[in-house]
Amino acid sequence: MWTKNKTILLLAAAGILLFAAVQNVVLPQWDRNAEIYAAEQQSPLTHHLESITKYHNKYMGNASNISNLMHSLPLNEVRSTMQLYPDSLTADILYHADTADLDSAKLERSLIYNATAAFALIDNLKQIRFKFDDRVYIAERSRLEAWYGKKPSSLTDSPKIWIPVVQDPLADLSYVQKGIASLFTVTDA
Amino acid sequence: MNPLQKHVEKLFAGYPPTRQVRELKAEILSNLEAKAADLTAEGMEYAQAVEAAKANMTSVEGLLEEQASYDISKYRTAMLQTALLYCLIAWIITIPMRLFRVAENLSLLLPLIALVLGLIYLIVRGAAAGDAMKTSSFNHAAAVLSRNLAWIIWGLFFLTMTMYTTVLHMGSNIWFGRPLHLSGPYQFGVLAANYAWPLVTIIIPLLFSASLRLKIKYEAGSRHVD
Repeated sequence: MWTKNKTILLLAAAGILLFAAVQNVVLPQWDRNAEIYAAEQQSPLTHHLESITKYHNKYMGNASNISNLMHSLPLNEVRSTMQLYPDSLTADILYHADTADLDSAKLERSLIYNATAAFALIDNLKQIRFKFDDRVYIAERSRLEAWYGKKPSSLTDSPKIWIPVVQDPLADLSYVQKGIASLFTVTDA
Repeated sequence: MNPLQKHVEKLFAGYPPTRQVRELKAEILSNLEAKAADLTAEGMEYAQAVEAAKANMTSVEGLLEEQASYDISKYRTAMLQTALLYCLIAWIITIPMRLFRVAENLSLLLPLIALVLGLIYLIVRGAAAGDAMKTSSFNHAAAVLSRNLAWIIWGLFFLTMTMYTTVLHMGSNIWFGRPLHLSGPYQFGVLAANYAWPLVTIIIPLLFSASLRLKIKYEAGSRHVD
C-alpha cells in the first residue's frame, strides 16, 4: 500500500513538472517560432519556397489550389478574392486595398515574387492580373520567361535556384523597378 | 501434483480463486485422500483406490454459494488508490499531446479528477483506520459480466475513434487513391496524438478489472499483507 502511495506522489510530481514545462517553456517557444515563420512568409525576401511547392498544379482551373497558393504568398495579409477565366487561362487576384495605402517597395517586390510563383507552379496559367482598388498589374507568362531567360517551372526545382535567381535580387530596388517595368502592364482601375 | 490433486483442480476449473473455493478445494482433497487411504488399508491397490475415490466426487455444483462477501472499507480504499494511480498515468500520457493541440480538455480534466480522488482517498483511508470490519456481498458471475461488458464497450469505442481519425485525416486520400502526405514531424505528431488519445480511456475497463480483483483480494475472512 505504501509503495503505491509513493508511486502516486512521484507520478503527481512528475505530472506537475511536465505540465509546467509544456505550458510555460515548450509551447511559448513554439508559438514564438510560429510567429517568426509567419512573419517571414509575408516578405518576398524571406518567404520559404517549401511552403508553396505543394500547390504545383497542371491546371489554373483548380480554384482551391490557386487560392491556397495566393494565401501562402506575400500580400496574404491584404484581404483578397479571386476570379478565374479558364477560356483565356487568366486569373484575377482582387486585393481590396489601395496601393497608396501599402508600402510601395514591399508591394512591388511582392508582385514580382507572387507572379513568378504563380507561373512557376501553375503550368497552364497564361496571364495573372493583380487588381487593387486604384490600380491593376497585368503579368504574362511570355514576359516572365523572357525576364528570367528560362521556363518558370524550372525555378522551383530547388531553393538553390529559387533563392539566387528569384528571391535575392529583389533586395535591390533598382532591380525591382526594372522588373515591374519589364514584367507588368500597369493601368489605373 | 498427484492424481487426486489433478482431479480436484479439474473439478474447480473455471471457478474464481475465492476464499470459499480455496477452502472447499482443500477439504475435498483431504476427504479424497482419506478415502483412498482407507481403501488401500482394506487391501485395494493404490491406483484402484484413487479411481474409486475420484468416482465418489465427480462435480462440485451446488457446493458453492453464488454470493461472496468482501471487506468494504479495504476494498474502497484500494479501489480509490488504484483509480488515482491510473488517473495520474493517463494524465501524464496526455500532457505531451498538448503540444499538438490534441486532448487539451482531457489533460485538464484528468488532474482535477485525480485531485478529487486523492481527497476522497485520504478521507476514506482515515475513516477506515478506526472502523470495525463491514462486509458487503457480490455476485462473482455478475461482476465478471460487467467487466467483460466494459471491455467490449471500450473496444468498440476505440475502434470507432480509430476509424473516425482515419476517415478525417486520410479519407480523401483513400477515396481518390492518393498517397498520404505528411509535411513534417509536427503533422506526424498531430496524427499520432489523434490516434493515441482514445487509448487513454483504457483506464475505465481497467478499473472494472481492478474492482473484481480487489473484491476477491479483500474477500471477508481472507488475510493479505501489502
